[in-house]
Amino acid sequence: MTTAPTTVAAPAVRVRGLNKTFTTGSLLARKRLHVLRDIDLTIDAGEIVALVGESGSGKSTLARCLARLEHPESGSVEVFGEDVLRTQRRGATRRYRSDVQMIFQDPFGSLNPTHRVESVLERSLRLHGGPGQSASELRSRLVELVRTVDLDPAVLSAFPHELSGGQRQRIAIARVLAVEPKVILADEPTSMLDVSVRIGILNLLAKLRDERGIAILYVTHDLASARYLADRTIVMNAGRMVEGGPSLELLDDPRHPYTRLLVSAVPDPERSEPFDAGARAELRKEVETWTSSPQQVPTAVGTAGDVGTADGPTDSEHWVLMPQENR
Amino acid sequence: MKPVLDIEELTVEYVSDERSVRGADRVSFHIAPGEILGLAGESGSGKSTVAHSIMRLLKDPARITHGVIRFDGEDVLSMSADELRSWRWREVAMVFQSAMNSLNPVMRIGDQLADVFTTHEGLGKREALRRAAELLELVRIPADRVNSYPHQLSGGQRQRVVIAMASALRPRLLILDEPTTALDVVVQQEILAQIQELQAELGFAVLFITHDMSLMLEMSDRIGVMYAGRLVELAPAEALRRRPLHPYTQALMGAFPPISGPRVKLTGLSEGVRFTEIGDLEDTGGGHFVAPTGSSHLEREVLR
Repeated sequence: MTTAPTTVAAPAVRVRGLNKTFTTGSLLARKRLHVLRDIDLTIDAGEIVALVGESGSGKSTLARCLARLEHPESGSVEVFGEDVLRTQRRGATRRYRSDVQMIFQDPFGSLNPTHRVESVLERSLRLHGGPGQSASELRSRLVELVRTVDLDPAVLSAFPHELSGGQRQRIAIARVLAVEPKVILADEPTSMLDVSVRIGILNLLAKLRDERGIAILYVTHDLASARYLADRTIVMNAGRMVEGGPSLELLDDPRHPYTRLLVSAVPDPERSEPFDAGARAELRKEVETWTSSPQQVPTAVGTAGDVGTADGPTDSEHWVLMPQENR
Repeated sequence: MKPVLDIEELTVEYVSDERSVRGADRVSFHIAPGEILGLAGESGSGKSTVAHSIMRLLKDPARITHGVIRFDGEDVLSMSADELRSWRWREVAMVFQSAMNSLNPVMRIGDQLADVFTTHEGLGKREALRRAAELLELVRIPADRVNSYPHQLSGGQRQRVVIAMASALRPRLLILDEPTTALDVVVQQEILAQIQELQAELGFAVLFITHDMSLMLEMSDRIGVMYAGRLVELAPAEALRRRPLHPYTQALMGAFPPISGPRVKLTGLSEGVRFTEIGDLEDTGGGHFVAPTGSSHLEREVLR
């Protein structure tokens, strides 16, 4: 994919040519597993991009590379134009640590059970704001912080075990907000929560995007939630990004056989046609043909529904990785 | 038609020294032969407690303190250990969440399936293995997989093996407790299609437990919604989809964004909202029952 020349500021996140392999197996039967292949991705400030795919697709590994919890073999990760994988400067590293924050799946494991909520949050505020904050200043910032995540200030004196899963995840988000991040990486942030409070967490992420202009990478296996929350959605399969675009456009008109397979498997009470094992098998065969093709090219899906325009697609339009021979 | 399963006022208490908690509280419903009844609710709502009560699998400190469970007219709660042993699997079978991980890792798939026939039907080894191979084909796994070990199968295939095992003796009721929760969405759909196919062929009734309302609406004939051990709504799936009556059911349905149609803002259930003192179900006509919403108290608390 090529990005159209532009004069506006650098995107919040720009990933180019990222590759990552894991080595598995014993010493003698060593296998190399290509978990990320040629990943290109941008996220603008004030934008939510969803990364969807099944387990093993590489979506979490990509998020972990961005959080610098994994180190890719090749490629670059720029945050506001600065290459964060190459930099040796301590200042840049420190800035990266507060600019880019991660929210994890498990709100039960990520909060210290022996500390009250206020001391958890206070610590983040002090580390970020530096010394010289008065007690009353701190207090008002704490109250503001919990209000931002739609909780009552009374939770400040609670211990994590006294809170529900949803409340805990909100505290985890408040802690992240204390350092005023510009990018949030959210890896399946609702999958361990009770279903009725999940949507509230998604709405909170949308609010952070709209009110604070935070760029958010939302990693999920739940296509319907990506459709609900994300401005753009990118589908991953076996380490590759196979299709991307504005969420509604992409999920209402999926082009890659793998995306079509995923979308057709999402439970939909509105759907009338029954499960067709034959059609499913055809689709699987098509996935195999497409993904094993030696030459796969990102191709724009035109507004008229046609594919295969001369230029490569831009990040913001609907594109699909298709075999050269199909174009 | 006479129900295959009839539950009246089932109450289960988890008893400790200081206090007891009701895991299921005066729960009543029935399942007709060949019917798929879904039981929806969140973790801790009591849906698994109900399933385990039917199978008589509750362990201490859980105790059935009140109520009746009848299977085909027979009182399940008064069955002896011997009676239970032959009744389970033959009449009622259960597939647990992540059951695919409970297959014996050092035993071939075929031997594990054959075990069901040698134990319950007294078949010889050769005949049992033949039936095992048939069973695998029934769930669309090649018959030569009888010689495979569980680790040589994918998660989805292992879950199919477990489902095959559960339907081996043609039970009249199959209880599925979150049968696809640990699986990817494509595999999940295939497993559920498999269950529907088996059900059409063998005609068993299903008690289907999940927290996923979209899945539940697609699978079930009727749906019961549980909250805090109580059944708050019971209705045909179509009626529930079109017009959920209880505010908790509405919140649960509003918690799942749809995969098609316009994008509208959903709210789900607000943090800290609790329903208390839920009354008995009332008939609103058309087989649609709901707990009285006027008197069911709604609490909004910051903590607890």
